[in-house]
Formats: sequence, structure tokens, C-alpha cells
Amino acid sequence: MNARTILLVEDNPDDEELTLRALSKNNIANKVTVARDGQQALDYFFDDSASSRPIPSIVLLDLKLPKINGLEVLRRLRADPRTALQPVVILTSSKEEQDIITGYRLGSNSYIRKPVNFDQFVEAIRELGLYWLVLNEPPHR
Amino acid sequence: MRKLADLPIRTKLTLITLLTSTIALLLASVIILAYDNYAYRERKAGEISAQARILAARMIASLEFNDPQSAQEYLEPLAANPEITAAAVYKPNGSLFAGYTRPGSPSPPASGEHLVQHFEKNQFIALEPVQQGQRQVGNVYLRATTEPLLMRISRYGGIILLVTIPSLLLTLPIAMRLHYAIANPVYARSLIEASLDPLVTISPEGIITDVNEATIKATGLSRESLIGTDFSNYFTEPEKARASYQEVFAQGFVTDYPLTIRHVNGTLTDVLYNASLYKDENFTVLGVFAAARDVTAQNKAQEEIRNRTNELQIANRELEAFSYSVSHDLRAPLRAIDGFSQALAEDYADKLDDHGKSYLNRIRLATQRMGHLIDDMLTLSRVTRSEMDHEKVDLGTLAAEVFEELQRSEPGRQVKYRIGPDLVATGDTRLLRQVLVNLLGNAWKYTAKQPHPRIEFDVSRNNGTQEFFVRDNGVGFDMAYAEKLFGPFQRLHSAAEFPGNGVGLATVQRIIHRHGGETRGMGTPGQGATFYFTLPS
Repeated sequence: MNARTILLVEDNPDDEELTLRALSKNNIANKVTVARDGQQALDYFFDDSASSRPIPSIVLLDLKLPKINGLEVLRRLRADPRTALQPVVILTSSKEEQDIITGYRLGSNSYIRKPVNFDQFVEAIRELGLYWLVLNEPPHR
Repeated sequence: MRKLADLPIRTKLTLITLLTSTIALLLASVIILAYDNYAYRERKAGEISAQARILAARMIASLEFNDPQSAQEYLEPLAANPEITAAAVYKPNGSLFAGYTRPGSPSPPASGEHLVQHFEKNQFIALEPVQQGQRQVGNVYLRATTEPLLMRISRYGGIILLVTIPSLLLTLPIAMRLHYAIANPVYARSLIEASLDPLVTISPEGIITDVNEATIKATGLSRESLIGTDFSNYFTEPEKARASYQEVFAQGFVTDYPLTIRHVNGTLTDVLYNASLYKDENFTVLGVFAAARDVTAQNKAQEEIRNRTNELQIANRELEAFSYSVSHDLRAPLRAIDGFSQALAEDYADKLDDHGKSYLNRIRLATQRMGHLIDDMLTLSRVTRSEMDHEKVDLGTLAAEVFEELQRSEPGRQVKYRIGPDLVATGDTRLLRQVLVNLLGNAWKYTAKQPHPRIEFDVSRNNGTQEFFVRDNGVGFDMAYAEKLFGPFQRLHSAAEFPGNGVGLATVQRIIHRHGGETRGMGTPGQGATFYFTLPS
């Protein structure tokens, strides 16, 4: 494994736990930072001490979030030159067509629906991790 | 027979004219006849009485000298007057003294007593006393024929006809010409009054010069109080009303100009005004002719539609929000139940016996079933809500793709399938694909226990409609339950026998109904099922 980090934007503690479990089951030991609402996610990039934080290789973004919803978080990330190229994967419960289309229109790099079946979820996280943390070359330094 | 009321007004006027002139002529004739008859009788009575007096004067001597011979001689010359049919002279005691009878006429009465001067049928009886000084010495009797009244009437009738017919013939063309001139404006006026639309003429100063009945109704004011007043007074927006006729004077007309008429009782009538200039034969503008169309009912209906659409949109948005929430929030707990059951099974494997592990497995299976159910319900609700395209769809190609997917999902199964040629319909590709996924998926599922499974997708064409069908030789179903087939959450097989949640056919039916088509199913237990759907070609 490498020093690449993950920002998990997730308000549901169950989903947080299961995602972390799925990552560890796949032996993905990269550092994971969890933002529990949309504001926290934006603060990670834009607050005063943002420059001291590592730039994540991937943001796993849930859509239904307290305060600022996922699509709005995505819109603001894309609107700011510092994060315009930040790889973001929408990882959410629904596959509402409108969400998928809006997600891509706002510049999401991928859209993954969390399967109910945990085995399938683990498999999805494995492929995600492999792709974004190993295969993919991030745009920044 | 046509009723008098149904006759055109012009014909009625002509008839009235002819009738009145005829009645007038007849009445005049009858009066003249009656007067003439009276005058004739008076004259006759006068003439005959005079003659009787002359005779009486001559008879004095004959009676005084008792000389009937000379009396007879006086009577004989009466033969010269053809009107006199009989004459007689009586002594005071009533005995006949002398008499004369025109040949062919009855003799005078034998006795001179009780005779009175009078008119009889077609004759006049005159009686004149013969007097010598104060002494009556006898009576003279004279009987004269009068011309029979009937003859006189018929002669008059002839004259009347002779006068009436030519005068009527003369009246007819005059009447018709006159009535055309009179009836034409009356006819036009009736049309104007009959109109349900308020019609009004306005002078260049905006003063009402004429109105029809409908205007009176709409304003609640009489014709007299409307004419001569300002047109704009009768609207909720007088300025706008003024602008409307000014626009007519400026550009010659207005079309569908919306205004609201205010009735004296406060009732408002929404109208659309159409108005144009009216001019005399020298093209001088006399004013504006304006016709209003009452659109209150239409406006009300439109308002109603707007309200309902609004309510529907709100309901739809709520439903949208609801299913969005369902798709997000209902699945998350299921994922947690499944995930942590799995975690339990993995991390505490040594503390659980086989029973415990099997329970956890059941929990996981149940959550996954519920996950599918939520997905299918969302699909079902989305089918009704989603926007629909109307494009040419090649169902044959879609079916082939669906079969490929089914084959990939279960590579081990050997299913013979046949897709007919030219399976083209008009509709929404995505939704129709959903129909085939469900129908072919069912056929695939329910032929699982059949050693030689066969699935067919084709169309039967009949009277311009095409009915597509998916036929299989699977487990089939009992037609007794055919009604339940398309109801949501209705199943004819247990989940243990064949997995499923009873949403598939309900989804199919909703999609087909949205396309304006129909669905039906035919089946025989153990021999297979056929599902039909129609689509506009």
C-alpha cells in the first residue's frame, strides 16, 4: 500500500463502520478521514488549516447528508480551482436517475450504488480501492 | 302543415296587409249595402205612398157619388207602372169598392179592414185614407214589388269582387316591396337581439348609441339608461375599456380584448371583446360596433384546471420526495443489518453453532429480499412518474438483448427461444425494455423446471392492431386466478417455489397502460403461459 489517503463523506455511522470494515477486509490500509456532513467535507478542503491536510486520492461522497447535501458539496468542489480536479466518487444508497445524471453533470468521476448485500459491497469497495488508490494517477503533485 | 308562426316575417306582413285590405273593403261594402238598402226602401215607400195619396185624392168623388165605374177607370192606368201589382179602394166599412190586379199577381185582399202600411217580403203595401174634409170616406190600397234584396246583394257582391280582386292584385306587389323594406331591418334587428353575446355600438366619443338584449342582461340596466352613457362605465376597469375602443379607432378593430362587465347587482362577467369600425356609405366613421363573448365559464374551467394541475404537481413532488427518501433511507438500514450479520458470522464464528450461523444467514437472505422489493417498488412507481418518449422501438432487438442478459446470468441453462420478425412499435424504449425484462424474465424463471424450455416472442396482427405475446412452456397458471395476475404484490407461486415479489406484471401493465395498450394472460397449469400486450403501431 501507499501513502494515498481517502476522504469518506458519510453521516450514517453504520455505513461508516461497514465501509471501513470493507476496506480493511480488502487489506486497504490507507489513511481514511471521515467527514460526517457536507460542511465538514468542504471544511476539509477550505478551512484555515486545510493546507496542512493531505489531498485525498479519492473522495467517497454520500448524497444524503446533513447541512449541505452531496451534490452541493460536489458543485462547490468543482467551482473552486483548488479542488476542481479532485477525484470524487459518489457512493450512495439510491440509483435515482436524476441523481446519477446530476452527479455526472456536476463532474463526478464515478457513481457507485452501495449494494444491500454486504458481500457485494465488499467486492465494490475492493474494486474501488484498487482502481483509485493503485491504478489511477491523481491530477495533483 | 306549417304553422303561421313558422312563416317568414315578410310573408306574415304580406298576409296581414292583404287581410286588412280585404276586411276593410268588405266592411265598407256591407255598410254601403245596408245604407243603400235602407235608402232604397225609404225611397220606394215614399214613391208608392205618394201615388196612393194621388189616387186617394181622385177617389173622393167616386166614393162620394158611389161610382165604382169611375174608380175603376182611375185604377186602370196603374198598369203603366210595372212595379204595382195590385190596387184597391175600400169603403170605410172595409168592403171592396174597386180593384186592380196586375196579371199573374194575387188579388188585393177582399176586405179593407185591419190593413196596415208595411213592407213584406219583396213588396210594399201602402194604405192611404180617402178624406173629404174631416170625414174618411174610404181607403186606398197599393201593393208594389220591391226588387228582391238578395238580387241587390248579389249584384253588389259582383261589384265588390270586381273592385276587390284588382285592388288586391295591385296591393300585393306594393305590399311585398314595402315589406321587404320593412322586414329586412326588422330581421337584422331580431338577429342582433337574439344574440347571446352582448352587442353594443359606441360613438367616436365613447357614448353608447345602441345595445341588444344580452347587454341589458349583462349590465342589469335598461336600454334607455344605457344609451347615451359612457361605454367604459360598465366595466371593472374603465381605463382599459376606454383603451379598447380607442384602439379600434386607431387600428380599425380589436380581437379578443379581455374585459369584465359589472352587473348592477355586482355580478362580474368576464368577456372577450371583438370590435370593428362601422361607417356610412361615404366611409365616414360613425362609431364602433363591439361584440362581447362571455368567457366566465371558460375562465372558471381554466382556473379549475390550473388549480388541479397545481395540486397534482404538488402531489407528484411529494411522491417524488417520498420515493427519493425511500430509495435512500430504507436501504441503508438493510445494508447495516446485512453487513453486521455478516460481521457477526465472520468475527464470532467460533462462538456460534450451526444453528446461530443459519439464523444469521436467514437474516441476510431476508434483508436482500427486502432490498429487491424496495427496488421493484421504486421501479413500479417510477414507471408512472417518468417522462415518456414516443419513438419507433424495435422490440425484436430489445428482446434479443434481454435474452442475452438472461443467458449470461445463468450460463448453465439451455433455453430455446424464437423472436418473430418485424416487431416494431411506438413508445418509450426504456419502459418497453422494462416490459420485456419482466415478461421474458418470467418466462425464463417459470420454465426452470421444464426439461426442454421454449420461449417465443412474436406478434399477431388483427384489424390494424398488433398484439405482442411472450409464450413459454413453463409451469403455467390456473386461469381462475387470471384476474390477480397484474395486481401489485399478487403471486400465484410461493417464493420458495419461484422467487419473486409480484411487482413485475404490475409494472408491465402500468407501462402498457401508459402507452394506451392492454395486457392479458392465458395459461394452463403445467403447460405454459402466454402474456399478451397491445401497443399503438
